[in-house]
Amino acid sequence: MTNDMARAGSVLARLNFNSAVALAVVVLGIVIWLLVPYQVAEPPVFFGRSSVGISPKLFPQMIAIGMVVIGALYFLASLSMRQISGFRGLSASAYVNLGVVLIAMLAYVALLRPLGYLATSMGVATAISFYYGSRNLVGIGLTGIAAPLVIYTLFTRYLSVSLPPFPWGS
Amino acid sequence: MFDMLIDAMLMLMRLDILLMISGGLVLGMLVGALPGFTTVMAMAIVLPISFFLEPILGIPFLIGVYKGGIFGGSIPAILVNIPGTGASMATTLDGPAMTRKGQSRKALEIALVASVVGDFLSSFGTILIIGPIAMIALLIGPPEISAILLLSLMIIVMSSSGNFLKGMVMLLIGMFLATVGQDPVGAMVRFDFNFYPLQAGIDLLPLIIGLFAIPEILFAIEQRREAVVDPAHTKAQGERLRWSELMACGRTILRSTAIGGVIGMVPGMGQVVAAFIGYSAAMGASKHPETFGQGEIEGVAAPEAANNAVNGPTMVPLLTLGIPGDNITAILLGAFVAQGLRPGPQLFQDQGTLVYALLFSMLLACVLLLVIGYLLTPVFARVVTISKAYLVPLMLIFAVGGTYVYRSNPMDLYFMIGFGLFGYGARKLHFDLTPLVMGFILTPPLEYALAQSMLLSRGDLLGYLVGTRPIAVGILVLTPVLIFWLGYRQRKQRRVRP
Repeated sequence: MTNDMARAGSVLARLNFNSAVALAVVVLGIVIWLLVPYQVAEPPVFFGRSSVGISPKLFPQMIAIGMVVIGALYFLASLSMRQISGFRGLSASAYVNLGVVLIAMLAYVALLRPLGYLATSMGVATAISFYYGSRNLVGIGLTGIAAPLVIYTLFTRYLSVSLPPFPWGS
Repeated sequence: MFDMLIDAMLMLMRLDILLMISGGLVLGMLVGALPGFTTVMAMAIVLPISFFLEPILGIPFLIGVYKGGIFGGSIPAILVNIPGTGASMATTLDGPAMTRKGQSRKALEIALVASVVGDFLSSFGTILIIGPIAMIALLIGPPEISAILLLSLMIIVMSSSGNFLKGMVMLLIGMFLATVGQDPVGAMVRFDFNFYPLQAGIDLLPLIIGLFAIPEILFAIEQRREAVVDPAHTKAQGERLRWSELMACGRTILRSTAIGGVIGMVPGMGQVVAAFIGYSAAMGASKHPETFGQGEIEGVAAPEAANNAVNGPTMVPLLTLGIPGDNITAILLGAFVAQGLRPGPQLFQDQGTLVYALLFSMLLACVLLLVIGYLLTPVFARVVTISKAYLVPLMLIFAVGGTYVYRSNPMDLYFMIGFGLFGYGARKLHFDLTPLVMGFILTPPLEYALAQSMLLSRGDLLGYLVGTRPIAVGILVLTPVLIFWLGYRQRKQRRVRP
């Protein structure tokens, strides 16, 4: 009894981020397998035979099985892995920086159409440059004003493709 | 054939092509010289530009970025002991030691010449052999293509950095993402969750920009004020490279070119492996191996020739079979497909002149790299000191603009951010993203070729393969043998170098 508990304890002690990812992969495989009947359409059948060589379900099912098998093997292997997660050494300020940039990215994408490429790009580029620690007005001007103008001109004039124009544009 | 080659050369006689290649080289060298920013990222960000240019302008532009980036990585590797790209890691073994001896100018010049010679010779070899290989590839059918795709995927997983099982996980995720949308055989909708943007599937562009550009931005932003490199260390100093020194390195450069050329043709191996093997071979063949690691000029020439010699031959599996060997050729594949050119043996029949013109543009890029590299290396040496406060927002606005213009679909931008976060997390957890990208790209042709094989076999695939397709059977038998051999070799290497 004590040996079993000690063994279980040692297994628990050996769990790491790789074990968690491995379990997530197994769960993902099971979810894909369960979704296949509902999320994969069946091809039409002519004269009792399928019109295609393989069912569209075959690959998703193979991938699901692969995830479960590889995930299980990965879980077992993870118990002897000694990798350190890259998130472990990350400081609180790094998480704040990442959060700020992520919010800026999402706002950029959300506002791209309503405000236009130039206005949003200028705002986001200037804000990130400033947040990153730049206080050089020439540098910020080049990044925040000149660069979006150049990119906008490159795409719309020279490559003849459309980017959302100014909010007051057509 | 001869007429086709002449036409291909004539096709390149345009000033705008020279300018686009030169622009690509300058951009590539700029990014390559920036520690922390990769050639793959630069190519991913400028990929959309190539979509809206003629193929003869857009693809050579990307080739320029590729070649410039691989060489550019050697500049900080030599000057400040920080490899600009993974390909120049082996250059840090002797490059910084030469700088400490006051020979940084010589180190940069031998790196440039070795890079250009290695790249030029291997690209020339590629042009010679790619036609016959494409003709052989024309003779193979769907079963052989399925077997080759399977073998390529396994090699990519085995040679990806890290653990085999982790590589397999990434491969399966990439394969699953490829199944979203419509199946390539009967166009049946899969995993759309009644969400309209998913019905057409996930596009390659947001996936590539998301996985390769956004994580670089997130990594760069972790620390707001990055370590500043002392500008005093970013000057090329000392005497120039002498002709006699270059001639003395000739054998090493040729050996490394051969090594890089062979490695380039194998999917998944890449520049890093070639550079280290080239370096080891040079040390093994040297009469004074003890000088390696202490500022030996051959220690710079060998990895630089080897890693650049990989560039040309990576086109062989890409253009003849449609199999990208690494992330960079995966991006080039995206450029080809967006231009309506589906890489594969048929491409040589349908667009032979254009394909050869694109291959010749690689030679042109090498010559231009020599000139531009010679003139601008001192300038790019100072690039190391540019603050990321300007580069990070620049990359972001370019990535967003490039992703949006392709389909004018804001959903692509959300996919880009999603893949960016996934890529960032995966790299933090020591996953290599290459198998994911390859799984995503190669699953549709694999599924299509397998369906065709099933139709040809009339339900008895095993009997059909064994009875009529010995090459496919041979490749299928070879696949597990190769996996075990590669696994055994990796384990052995890990034991030698813990």
